[in-house]
Amino acid sequence: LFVVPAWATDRLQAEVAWAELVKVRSALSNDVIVWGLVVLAFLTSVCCVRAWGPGMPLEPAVFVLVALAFVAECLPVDVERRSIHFTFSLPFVASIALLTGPSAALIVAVGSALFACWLLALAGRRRSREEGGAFLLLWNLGTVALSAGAAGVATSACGLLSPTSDGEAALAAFTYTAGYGVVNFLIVTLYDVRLAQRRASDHIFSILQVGSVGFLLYGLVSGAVAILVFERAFWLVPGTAIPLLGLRAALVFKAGAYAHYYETITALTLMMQRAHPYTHGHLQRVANYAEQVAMRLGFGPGHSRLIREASVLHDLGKIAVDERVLDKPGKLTEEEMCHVRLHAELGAAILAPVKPFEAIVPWVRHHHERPDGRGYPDRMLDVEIPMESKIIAVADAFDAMTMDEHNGERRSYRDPMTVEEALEELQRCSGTQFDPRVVAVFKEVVVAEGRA
Amino acid sequence: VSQGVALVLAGLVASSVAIVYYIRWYLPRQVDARFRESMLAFSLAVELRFPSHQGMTARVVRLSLAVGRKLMLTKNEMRRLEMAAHLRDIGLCSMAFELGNGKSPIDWTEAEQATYDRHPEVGGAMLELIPSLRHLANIVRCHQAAYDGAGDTFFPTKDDIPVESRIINVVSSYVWDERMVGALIAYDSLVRGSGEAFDPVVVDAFRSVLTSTRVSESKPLAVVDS
Repeated sequence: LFVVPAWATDRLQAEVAWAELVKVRSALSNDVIVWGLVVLAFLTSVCCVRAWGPGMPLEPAVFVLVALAFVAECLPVDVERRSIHFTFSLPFVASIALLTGPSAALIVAVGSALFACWLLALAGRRRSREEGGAFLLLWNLGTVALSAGAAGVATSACGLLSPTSDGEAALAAFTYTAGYGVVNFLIVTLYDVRLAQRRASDHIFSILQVGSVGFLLYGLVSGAVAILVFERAFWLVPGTAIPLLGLRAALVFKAGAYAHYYETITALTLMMQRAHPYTHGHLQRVANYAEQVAMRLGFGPGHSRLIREASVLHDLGKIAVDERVLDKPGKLTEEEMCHVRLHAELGAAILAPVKPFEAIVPWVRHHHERPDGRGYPDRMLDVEIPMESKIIAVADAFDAMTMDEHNGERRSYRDPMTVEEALEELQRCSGTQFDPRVVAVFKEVVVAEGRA
Repeated sequence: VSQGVALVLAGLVASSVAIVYYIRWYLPRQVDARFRESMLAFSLAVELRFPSHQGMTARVVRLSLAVGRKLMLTKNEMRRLEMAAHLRDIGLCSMAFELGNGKSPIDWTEAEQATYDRHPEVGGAMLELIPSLRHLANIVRCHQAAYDGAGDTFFPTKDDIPVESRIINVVSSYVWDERMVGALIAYDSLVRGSGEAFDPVVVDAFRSVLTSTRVSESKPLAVVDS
C-alpha cells in the first residue's frame, strides 16, 4: 500500500491530483512529520541491518523469492480516487525475512519498490521521478522501509525469526505480514489526514470497502509461501502467484466498481447542472452541513457518508422540472407549485434502479416532508419521515436562504438573508417544517464552522 | 512431499479454484449489473425531462443489440454498444425544457435547433469527465454523424465513425421517426438515407432485423421494401 498522488494512471485524475499536489507541496516538504518519517525510516533501516547483520548464509534459492517480489511489485493496482496503490510482494518479502533475516527483507522491499518506480515510469504508466517529485519517492521508500523494519521487530519480538516447524513458519510469516500491513496502513492514514486533509475514518472506511476479505487471504498466502520455503520446496513457490494474481484481478474489479459508484454520482450531478445552472457550491455546502449534522446526531461515518451522497443528489428530480418555473421571479401559481413539487418523486424514480443507491432513494423522496404532515409528496407525519431526509431538508433550506454569491443560485423572489436571520427562521419553523432536534444540532454545526 | 507441503498444495488448488470462479464469473456479473443500473438511471433522467422520449431508450437498446449481433460484433463492442445506446442522449439535458414539452420542432428558432443539434457533443463532453465511461465519449459524440460526412467537417466519415455510433444512428433515428410519423415513413427514410446519412451495411442489417420474426412490430413492414 503506498501513496501515489500525482502518479495516477488516469490522465484527468492525475492532472487534478497533480494540481492539488503542486499547491501543497511547498508546505509538505517543510512538514516536520514528513521529514521525521524519512529520518526514522533511515534509522530503522540502519538499525535493522546492524541488528540482524548479514543473517543466515545466502541460499541460491532465495533468488526465486527475490525475483517474485520484484515481479509482484511491478504489477500494482491503482485506486485512483484514493490516490493509493496496492502491490503484492509482501508474502515473498516475509519469507525472505525468515530465510535470510529481516535486514535482507528490508533491502529487497526497498529495492523492489525503487525498481518498480523506475520501471513503471519508463513504461509511461506513471510520471517519472522528476515530475512526481523526489520527495514522494523518498516518502514512499521511507514508508516501505519503516513498515519492513517494524514487521521485522514484531516478528523477532514474538520469537518467531527462526521457526522450527511448519506451523511456526506460517505463523511467523503471518505476523510479519500483519506487522507490515498495520504500520503501512497507519503511515498512509497519516498521509491522508495530515497532508491530503482527509479524515481518518474516510480512509479506513474506503480501504475496508475495497478489500477486507482480501487482507486475510493475503496473510494466508504468505503463510503458505513460508511453509514451502521452510520445507525447501522452492520449485512450488511460483505456484503461489496464482491466488495472488486472482486477488489482484479481484481488487481491480472492486476498485473499478468503487470508482464507478462515485462517477455515477458525478455524472448525475453533471446532468442536473446542465439542466439548471445549479452551482457546485450549493450542493457541496449542503452535503458538508448534512454530513456534519449526521455525525453530531450519532450516525456512523459510513452512514454519514451516504447522507452526504444523498444530499448531493437530493434535487436530482429537477432535471425533469421546467427551468422557467424554477427561475421565475415572484410567486408561483398553484399549478406551477405542483409541477415543482414533482421533483422529489422524480429524483427518487431516477435513482431507484441503481442498487447501491437503494438506501438513499427514500431519503431523496422525502426531503420535502414536514413533521406537521403538510409536506410532499406523501404528507408523512413526524415519526414516519426518515431522519436523513430531515437533515437534508434543514441543510438545503439554510443554504437556500443564505446563498447569494451566484446569480443562477439566487432565488429571485427575495434577497438572501444573513446567517443569523436564517437561523432564526429555522428556529421559527422548527416543529412545523423542520425537526427540532436537527435544527438544534444544525445551529451547533453553524456555530462550530464560525459562520454565526 | 511432507505433510505441510501437501496441505499448502491443497490450499493453493482450492483457493485458486474459488478465486477463478470469483473473478471470472461472480465479479464481472456484479460490475456489469452496477453499470447497467446506472445506465438505466441516466436514460431515465432524460426520458423524464422529455416525455416524448419515454420508453425510447429501451427499444433503441434492444434493436441496436439485435443489429450488433447481426453484424457479429465482438463481446466488447456489444457492451459498448449497449451502454452508449443508453447514454446517447444525456446531452439533451442542456436543451430547454419547453422544447421537448409542448413546443413543436417546427416552431423552434435557429438557436433552439442548435441546442438540439449539439447534444451529441455535449453528451460526449460530459462523458469525457467520467473516467469509467470515457471510452464511450467518442461513440456518443458521433452518434448522429452523417455517414457521407455531409454537413459537419468536425466529425469522422464512413468507416472512421465507430461502428457502435453508426448502429445507434440508424436505430435511434428509425425509432424516433416511427414514434413521430409512423413506421412506414420511418422505414422509407431509412432506406433512402442509406449510403448518405446512414451506413448501408448497418441499414441492411437493421432491415433484416426489422423483418425477422423475432422483433415484435405493431405494423407489417415488409410491404414497403423496395
